[in-house]
Amino acid sequence: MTKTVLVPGVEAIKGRRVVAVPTAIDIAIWPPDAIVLRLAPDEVLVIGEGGLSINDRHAIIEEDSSLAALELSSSQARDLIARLCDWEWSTSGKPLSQGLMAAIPVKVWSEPDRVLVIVATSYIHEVEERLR
Amino acid sequence: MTEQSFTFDGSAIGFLEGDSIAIALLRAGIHPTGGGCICLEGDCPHCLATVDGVSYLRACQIRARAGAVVVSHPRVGAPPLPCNGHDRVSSTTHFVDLVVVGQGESGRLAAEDATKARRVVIAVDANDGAEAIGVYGGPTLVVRTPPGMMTIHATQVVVATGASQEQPVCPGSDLAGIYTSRAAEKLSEAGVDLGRVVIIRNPDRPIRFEGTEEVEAVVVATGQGEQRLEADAVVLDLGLHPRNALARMGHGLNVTAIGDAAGTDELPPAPEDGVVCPCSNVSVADLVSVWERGFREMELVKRATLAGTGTCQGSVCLPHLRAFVRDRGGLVPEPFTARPLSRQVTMKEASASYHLPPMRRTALHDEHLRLGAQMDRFGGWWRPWRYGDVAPEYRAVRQAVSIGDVGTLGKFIVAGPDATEFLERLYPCRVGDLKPGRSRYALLLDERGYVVEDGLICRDGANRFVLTFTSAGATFAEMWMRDWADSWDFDVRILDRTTALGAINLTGPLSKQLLERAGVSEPPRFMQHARTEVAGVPCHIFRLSFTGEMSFELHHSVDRSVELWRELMSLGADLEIHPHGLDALFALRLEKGHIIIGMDTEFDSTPRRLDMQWAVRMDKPAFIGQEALRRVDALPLDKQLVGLEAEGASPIEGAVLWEGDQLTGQVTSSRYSETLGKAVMLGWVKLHEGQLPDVVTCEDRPLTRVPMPFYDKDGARARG
Repeated sequence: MTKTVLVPGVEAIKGRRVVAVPTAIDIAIWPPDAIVLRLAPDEVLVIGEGGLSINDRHAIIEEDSSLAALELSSSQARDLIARLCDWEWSTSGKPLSQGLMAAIPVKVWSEPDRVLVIVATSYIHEVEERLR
Repeated sequence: MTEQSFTFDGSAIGFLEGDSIAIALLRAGIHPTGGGCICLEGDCPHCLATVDGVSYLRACQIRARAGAVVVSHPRVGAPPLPCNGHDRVSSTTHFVDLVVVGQGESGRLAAEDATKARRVVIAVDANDGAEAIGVYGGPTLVVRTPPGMMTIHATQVVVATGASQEQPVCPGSDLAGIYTSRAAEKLSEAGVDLGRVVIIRNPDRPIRFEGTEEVEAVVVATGQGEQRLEADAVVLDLGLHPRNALARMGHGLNVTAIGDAAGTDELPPAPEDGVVCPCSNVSVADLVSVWERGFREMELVKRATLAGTGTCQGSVCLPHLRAFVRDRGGLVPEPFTARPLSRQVTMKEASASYHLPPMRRTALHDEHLRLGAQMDRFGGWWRPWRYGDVAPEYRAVRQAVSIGDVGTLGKFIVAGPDATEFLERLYPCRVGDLKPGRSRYALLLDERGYVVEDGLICRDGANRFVLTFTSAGATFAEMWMRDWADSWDFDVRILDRTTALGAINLTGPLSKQLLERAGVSEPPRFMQHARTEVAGVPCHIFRLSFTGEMSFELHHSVDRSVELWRELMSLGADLEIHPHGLDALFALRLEKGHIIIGMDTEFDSTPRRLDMQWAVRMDKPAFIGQEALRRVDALPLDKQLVGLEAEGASPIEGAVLWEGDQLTGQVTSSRYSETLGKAVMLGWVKLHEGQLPDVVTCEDRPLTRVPMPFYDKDGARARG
């Protein structure tokens, strides 16, 4: 992950957007150390370097440098979501949650030792103001 | 008495540890609102006060605090609106199996049983400061607590809020010195001396209270007739009524009342005289008046008198209103509908969990600020309106070279085996004949044939297209495309690139020269596009023209925007480059007659009404809106967007247009054209007998209808 600090605690990240038929995404091979966010049945955000393989010759694969991530502990994330979201966050289910956080569209990626709140850089200034 | 005190209407009031504000006031011999039966349970409106700037608080539910500033509510009219700063009230959201409102015996047992059954439970009680104030769909419960607001999404809500004591309705019930028996008990426990007390128990009823400001005597109806009793205080035990407003709010939801809140409501005798609803000051005479005028249902009586719509939301008056309607109508009516909120809240509390939709910034936002831009909100984005004086921006485009930030434009990739057929059906223009590397301007119509969006279709390969949309329309466009792709079951992939790509519009007669300096020796021709590096930044260049001059839209990865912008500014310094904002852009495009969707279009603007039938191919097999256009285009044209010009200053946008003394339309876009030396406008006008007016008036000036565009009629400048 590229470490460019946009505002304190929020770092720019580079990824790739992949849009393909769902059946091809189901069996695609992703870079080994990448974070793979299944945003929709036909869309994936891949964060991390390395090749990927997908069996759809019409797939759209595009670089995306428009994202940033706020790294939190689970308890910090739980507090943030209880305060600013009107949706339920469960760490026991899928690692990806998507919704509005203080009216800002976010993707929440949960790992055992950290949580990433991923947001478009066009909202960074609002993140700084609303999430703190 | 301790030395602790708060102020009430400017006077110091001492209090004991644990006192509520109401108890401290009553101990000092002060009725919080001047009169009315005191309940000390949060049911009645007789202890409402403004505490530390927040009005409509129940003094019986607020712990006395040293230094608090308490102000009584006016006897007539409303207290002032709170104005105590702009800090937010915090808000939390919770998801549980069960929420229990009220922690009396039945509520506590319900919470304990559910906890034993391993259900996730939240229990709230107004006596602990957590006051449930509304039930919404879900069910969702909104609770006000000292730290802030709670929104609780629950599978089930149990209402265990108990029962309230009946309040009296008779002349003199607004005097001080009247208490419910529970209130008297609390005052006794607090050591408040009520003096000579008369206790009236159900089924006895007070007929009237006597006194000037405070009770001096009460006349009671007993089984043995009327009896007059002198007293300093009258304590009433007239019966209980379920405190079930939250349960009634949750009608049809999984909301259950238990305990006394689920009890049978034994209605009192119908009131004969006095004030029924102290919040809205509705008397029995008022009820009789509306009844005799035909308002003979609970909901009608409520609406006609406003009884039950005040601060206590019917806690005091509902049993008496039902008794009145029962007595007159013969049937026991259901309680009137309960709606959130059951308590007054401050604006800060009401807005606690609300956040305004965020405005996006482009990657060049700080660059615009550095250049002195005045920013404004357009289409969900912050955009530069102008960089100081607009004239140099306009002239740079018309005479030299300029750059503008168009990164806000909607940008999409559509690919797949059915991409061409999909777009053929989506757009009213031809798509299949577009060759790779070529672009076409396109309208987007809805099923009624109305123009809802516009942009470019750019063919990128046999089965791959880049589409652009307006800044405000990108979200709609994505939804529109996905819905239709699903409906038609087309094999396409759609990717929104709006925020991933920055876009800079390089425009002006010297723009090609600047591109050459940036390393692009052979830029694409008009309405073509190509990928190449510009000043070392990989770009997808789209040749088009919104300004009327030669223009190149440079789409690039958004993390390279600042680098590209600065490089272009540097390379163009000796070419008199100047960035342009929206103010200049709107003037430039108006001179070319280019419409802005939502500004020049109305909800029912067909291509014919916009005089843009050239953008529609009715001979195509099918496209969205085609059938509607066949029908409406067979009707006589009734109005049209036209070009207008006048000498002198430009009228304001939105100005009314007249044909003689008949209103004919309005101006949608208006600017004074420095190049043409006159005001130019777009505006809607009506046709009469199939004819457009040649001259209309606006602000008492004649405007002449002229063919479009105003500027560069043959398009030579745009084509370069």
